[in-house]
Amino acid sequence: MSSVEADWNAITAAARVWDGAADGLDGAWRRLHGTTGAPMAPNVAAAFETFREAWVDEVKDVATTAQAHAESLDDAAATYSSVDDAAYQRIRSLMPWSYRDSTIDPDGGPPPMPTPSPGPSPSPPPPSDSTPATPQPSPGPSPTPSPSPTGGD
Amino acid sequence: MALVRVSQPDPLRTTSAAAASATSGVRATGESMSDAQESMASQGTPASWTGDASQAAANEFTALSARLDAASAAFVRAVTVLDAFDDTLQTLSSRRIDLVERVSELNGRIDTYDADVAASDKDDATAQEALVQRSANLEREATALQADVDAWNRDQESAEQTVIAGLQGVDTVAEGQSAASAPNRADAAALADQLQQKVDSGDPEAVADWWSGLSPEQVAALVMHSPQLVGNAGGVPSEVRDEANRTSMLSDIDYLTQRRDDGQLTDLERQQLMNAEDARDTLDDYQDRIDPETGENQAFLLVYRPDAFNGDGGVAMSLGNPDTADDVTSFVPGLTSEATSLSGNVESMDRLMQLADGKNGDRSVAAITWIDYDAPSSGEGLTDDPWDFLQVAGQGKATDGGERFADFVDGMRASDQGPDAHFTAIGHSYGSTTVSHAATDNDLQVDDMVLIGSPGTGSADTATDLMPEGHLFVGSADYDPVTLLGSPAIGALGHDPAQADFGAHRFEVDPGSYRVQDLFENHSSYFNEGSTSLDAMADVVAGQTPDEVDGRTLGSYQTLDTLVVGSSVVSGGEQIWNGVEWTGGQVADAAGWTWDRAKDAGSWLNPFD
Repeated sequence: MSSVEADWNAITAAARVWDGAADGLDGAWRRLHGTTGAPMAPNVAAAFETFREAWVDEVKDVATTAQAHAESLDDAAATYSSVDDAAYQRIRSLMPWSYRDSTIDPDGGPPPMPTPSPGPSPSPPPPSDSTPATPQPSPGPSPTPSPSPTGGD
Repeated sequence: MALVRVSQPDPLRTTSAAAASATSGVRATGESMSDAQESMASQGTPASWTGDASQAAANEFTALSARLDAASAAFVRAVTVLDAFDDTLQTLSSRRIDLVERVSELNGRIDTYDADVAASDKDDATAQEALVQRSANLEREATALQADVDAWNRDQESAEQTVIAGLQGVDTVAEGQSAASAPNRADAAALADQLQQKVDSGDPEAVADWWSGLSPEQVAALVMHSPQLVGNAGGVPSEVRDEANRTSMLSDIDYLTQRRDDGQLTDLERQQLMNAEDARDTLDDYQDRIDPETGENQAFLLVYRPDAFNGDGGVAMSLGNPDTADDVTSFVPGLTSEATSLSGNVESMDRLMQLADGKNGDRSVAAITWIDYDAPSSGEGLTDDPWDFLQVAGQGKATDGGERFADFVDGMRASDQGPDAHFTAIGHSYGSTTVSHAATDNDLQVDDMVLIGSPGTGSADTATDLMPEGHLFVGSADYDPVTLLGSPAIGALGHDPAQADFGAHRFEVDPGSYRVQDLFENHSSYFNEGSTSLDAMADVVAGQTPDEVDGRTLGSYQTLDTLVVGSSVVSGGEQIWNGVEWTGGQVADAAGWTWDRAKDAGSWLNPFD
């Protein structure tokens, strides 16, 4: 496998380009299909029809392929996002507890120093509406983090 | 011996319009493919994505691009042969009309001869000798004419075989691939670069010279690759501009309709689609306008820029081929004009064209509606009240529009074929200010100019600032309030060209209704069927001089304030007297409204104080 670099925004933008191209091609084959040029001499009309139908089929197929390509790019972007999110969750789960709430520096800097903490609290702070909460056990690291719908970049 | 009649030529089996329609469909499809290929090439394979999946996607693009390239090459070949077929059909059509006439005439003479033979005295040797001589002459003529007819029939057959062979040469994908790899294939992208450079140089004559050196296949490839560039380039033949713009229009409609159906249309695209559909509908209205000789459609889309001016759009359409017409006119409408205003303005031009055509003998006429400037419009927060426009618009858009219009006319001059056409520019309302700026600021190359319903002539102080002596014609209805805005009144848009001391040739215009509620209708009545103004403009377009009436002098006409007050009073009295159409309250409202607007406008320079 070669090295991988995935710019999520670029991939989704490319998907839109292919989708737009597929739209254009879809309109194109329909236009060609509807072109008759009637009335023409019968022999000319027959030759034109043969030409037209051959290329209607081809352009239609190219349009379908372009649309499928757009969708595969969308899928790729979603998969990269999902993989990135899963890796994030997993790596975060390996961090010391005191780092678990730290944010990721988009510039790649080290995480901020942890705030001194006694560790997992047996009773999490109450919600903002001050409703008494039932004590919950700490979830701890999740072995199978669920994918996030958010983008990875 | 009985003489054999000459047979008429075969029917023309394919009309030029039918061939052109087929060509348009193929060309528009090719343009869409070219667009798709280009957009995928430039943005479809992001450089910031690497890895196996990226490589697979790039390979997919390469394969798809090759398929589109093969299709494009096939379509260029098809368009080239269809275009040539269309040209041949036009020639065949014209020749056929001539042949039909000659055959009918000769067969008529043979009929007469037969009758003369039947009625002749068989014993009159002299008469019989003369008949024999006539017979020989007629037979010789018939033989020659039949040869011409046979040649025509063969030419039609040959044209059909040529186009059939051309289409059959590219009616499989494999043949398209072969066409794509042909060594002499036209390089459309390189040609587009060259044309762009010529256009950027601002010299339409250079564009025309360069264009004349292109081969038919290069033309087909270039139009399919860059229809927007070709269709709006001054100096390119009008027929080709029309083909290119129709290609863009159809391609836009295909693409944007698909986007609309997918729920992806942006606001600008929605406006663009509306402009494209309006252009198509207007062209459809004139699809039966066929040149009787050539069979060619006579509606030409000379400018098509549906996304220009923030979606208002730019468009120009001609009835009649301006490159071959003897008398050409181009009309610039005024306030609120945008691409979707095309239809109504073309109708006005049609009326003018028909009238002018009846005045100029054998000369042909082309009438262009030009709406390719950013006319003040309601989209800019203005109301549809003309007073608001005139106060808010100023001369800026007329100045910019004047430059664009002068460039357009230069382009038309450069693509003109044969002797120079007699060219008349017509400006209405704010369009008259635009045309004036084209003349004063940009050396507008026209022979005659007509200003109607003018609120002012920009920076021109006299007629000769616009045109040589005797070539500026002005129509101003007495009761058109917009024509009373120019200097010596408010003068924000320049001088009133109907003033006697301005020095223009003022022609007669129906004064219009004196009812206050009709005053603005008077402003839009210059092209009305049967109006004196339409007749006078047709005179000018046909190269004639309409009757002159006196220009305005102080005391000889009602100024704006007098008109507003007078028409209000008269309307009130009339309506109260009639008591039918309007109540007194409505009349009072209308009078008050007009008066308020007049005062608003006047408060600029306080002419009423």
